[in-house]
Amino acid sequence: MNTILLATDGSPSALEATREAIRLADELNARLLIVGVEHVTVPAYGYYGYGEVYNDLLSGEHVHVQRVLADAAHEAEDADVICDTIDRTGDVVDTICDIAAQKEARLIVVGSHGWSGVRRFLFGSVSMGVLHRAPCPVLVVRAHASQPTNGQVRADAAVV
Amino acid sequence: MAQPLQRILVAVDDSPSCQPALKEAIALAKASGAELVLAHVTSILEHRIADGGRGPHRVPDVASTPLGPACSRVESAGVRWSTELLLGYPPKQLALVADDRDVDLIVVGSRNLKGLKRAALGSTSNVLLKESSRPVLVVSSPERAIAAA
Repeated sequence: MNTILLATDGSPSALEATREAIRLADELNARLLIVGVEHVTVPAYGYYGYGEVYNDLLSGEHVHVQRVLADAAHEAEDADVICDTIDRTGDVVDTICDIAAQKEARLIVVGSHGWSGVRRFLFGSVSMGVLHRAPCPVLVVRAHASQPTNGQVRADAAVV
Repeated sequence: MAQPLQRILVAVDDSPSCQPALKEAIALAKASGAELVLAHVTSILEHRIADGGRGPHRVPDVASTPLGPACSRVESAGVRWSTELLLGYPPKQLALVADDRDVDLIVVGSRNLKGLKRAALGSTSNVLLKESSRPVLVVSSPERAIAAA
């Protein structure tokens, strides 16, 4: 059975990617592997109370990723698509591509822009990294891709 | 319930990176019963370079472009198809025709240029990702898949 890897962080484009991934898994009779990567960006120095703040960030990210994975899995099950979830910690691009290689994914589905963090604001961050390193075809999905409206307005909204 | 795919646009040119993309598009169209829209973007500049600007610059017919062999390949795969022969800047034209034909998915090959070449030449897939709001499937050349494995 083919595997489609969906990488999601719960951002608007990732939610759209989730819909597309489910649709393709349904069409291709593939199983869906939903991957969430816990990734916390913190300044690389210590200060008083730093440890606590860091731990809060880590546990916050963990809760967030778990919820995002549960929501995506729920959506897949509603569409009768078989799915598994994987929660990993580490570099987002490397983790996604490594799992895709291990599981011999037929394709990777990602949203174009993720949540938060300066590097994720830039188009060319996670989605571009995956595009250049992936061992298989990559489907990049923008937010509100399914609404055919004026392209200009939509494009601007997605970039900001 | 998920909506089935209706139309898939695939960008066709004469580069080797186009073949894996076409193969992937055919597989998706076969599995979903979607129609394949084969699109090729030609540029007036190509003609000028080819004949040194002497002309005449004839509008090419579909069969003489890379769409010709692509059509026969798709036909033999038993997939519904149509063609779009366009003139202009490839990523922009592909994005426009994707909207015009209301496709569910755009499939493009990627040449996988590295470093300086990538920066200098740009890439249709990268620009298309910015130009189009529709889902874009980027299919890399098999060389890279082997190298990454």
